[in-house]
Amino acid sequence: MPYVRQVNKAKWYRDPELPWLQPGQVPADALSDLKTSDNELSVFYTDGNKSSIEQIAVAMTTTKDDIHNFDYAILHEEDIDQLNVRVVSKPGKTAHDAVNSWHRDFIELTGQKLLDLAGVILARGEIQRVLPKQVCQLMARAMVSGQIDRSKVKLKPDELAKIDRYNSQMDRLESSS
Amino acid sequence: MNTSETTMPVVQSTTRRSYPCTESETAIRCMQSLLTLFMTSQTDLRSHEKEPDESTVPLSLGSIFEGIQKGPGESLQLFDLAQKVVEEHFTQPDRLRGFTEFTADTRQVRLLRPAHELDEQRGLPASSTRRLNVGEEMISQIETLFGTARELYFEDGMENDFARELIRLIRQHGNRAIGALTHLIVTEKVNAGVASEALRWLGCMDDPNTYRDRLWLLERSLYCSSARVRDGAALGIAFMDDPRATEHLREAIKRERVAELKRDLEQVLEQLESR
Repeated sequence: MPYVRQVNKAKWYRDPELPWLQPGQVPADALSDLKTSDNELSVFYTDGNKSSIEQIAVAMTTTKDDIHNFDYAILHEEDIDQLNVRVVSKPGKTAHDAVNSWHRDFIELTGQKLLDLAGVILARGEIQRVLPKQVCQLMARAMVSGQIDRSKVKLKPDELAKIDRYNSQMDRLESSS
Repeated sequence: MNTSETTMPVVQSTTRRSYPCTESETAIRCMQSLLTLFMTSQTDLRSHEKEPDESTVPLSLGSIFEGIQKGPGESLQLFDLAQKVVEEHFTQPDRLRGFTEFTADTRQVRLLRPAHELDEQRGLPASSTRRLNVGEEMISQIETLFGTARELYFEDGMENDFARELIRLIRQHGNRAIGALTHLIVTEKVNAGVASEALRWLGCMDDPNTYRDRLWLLERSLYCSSARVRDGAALGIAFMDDPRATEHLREAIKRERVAELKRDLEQVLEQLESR
C-alpha cells in the first residue's frame, strides 16, 4: 500500500533543465514540500486506486481557501520501510471522514531522513496532478453524495458557489435528458 | 525602412508584409522581442511626456500576439506594421535582428497594427480594445512585490499576501498592471517560483476587464525558459479553461523538453478540447 503526500509537481521534475543540478540530485526548493511540524510529516495511507486519490484530493481541498490543482507524490511502502521511517496513525482534520481515517504521520524525522525521503520521491515516487476543474467536479460530487460535511469545508464562499453552480448545471443536464 | 538616427519617438504607418520564418524558435523569439520592445516603447513615450498617436500605437498585448500569425508555408505574417523609435535596443542574434528589422544603430523596430482594427476584424466591440500604458512606477511597484514574495512559502489553494496584493493591483490598475507583469515575466526579470505563482492567480482570478490580456500573458509564458514558469502558465490556462488557448498549448507541447511538464500540458489540452 502506498502513501500519498501533497506536493508542488513543478518542484520535482527529474530533469528541470537546471545546468548546475546533477542527475538524481534533489533541488532545494523541493524540500519546501516536505514541511514538517514537530518533526512530523503528514501523509495519507491508501490503496493507491484512482478513486482513493480523488477522495484525498477532495479531502485536502476542504481545508483550503480556493479550489486548486492537487499535485501529489505516491510513495511506496517498501521505500518508506527501507528508510526506517516511523509511521503512526492519526486522524486527519479534513471535512472528509473516510479520508481522515487514512491519515498517517511520519514521525521522529531528522533532516537527513527528510533529505533521503526527498531522494526516494525523486527517484521512485510517482508524481501526478489533478487539474482544478476536475477537483471542482470531484468536490461537487462529494457534496451531493454526502461524503463531505459542508459545514466543515473551509473554502471561501465564492469557491463554494462555483461548486453549487456545477451541481446546478448537472441537475439541469440530467433533467433535460 | 527609414534608418536615420532620431532622438524622439516617431510613429508612422507601414503596409502589410510577410517575413520568411523557417524555424518556430525564431518566430517565438521574434514575438518575445517585439513584446519587450513594445513594453519599453510605452515607457519611453511616457518618459518623453508625449501621448502616443491614437491611430497607430494603442495596442493591446493580445493584438500583438494575434498580429503575428503563421502565413502560407512557414512564413510569419506581421500585419500592418507601425514603426517606432525606441530608446533601447535588445541584443538578439543577427538573423533575428534582420528578421525583426531593428538594428543597434538605428534602434528602429516594427510594432503591430492598432488593436481596434483587429478587434473589428474579429467582430469584437471596439470597447474591448484597451490602451496599454505601462509606467515605470507600476513596474517598480510590482517588481518590489515580487521581490518581497521570494521568501514566502506558497501552498496550493491557500491565499497569501502576495496573491492578495497582486489581485488588488490588477483590479485597481487593470491592464497597466498586466502590462507591467508581462514586462517582468516575459523578460524573465523576476524569480521563477514567484512568477509561476503569479500566473496561477492570473488564471483563477475573476476580472473581466483584464481577461484577454491575462490570457495572452499566460499563453506567452508557455514559452518562457523556466520550466516552473511554464508550469504556472499551464495551470493558469487550466483555470481559465478557454479553448482559444489550444493552439498555443499544442505548440508548447511540441517544444516542451521536460517530460513531466509535457504530460501536464497534454492534460490541460485534453481539458480544453473536452469542453
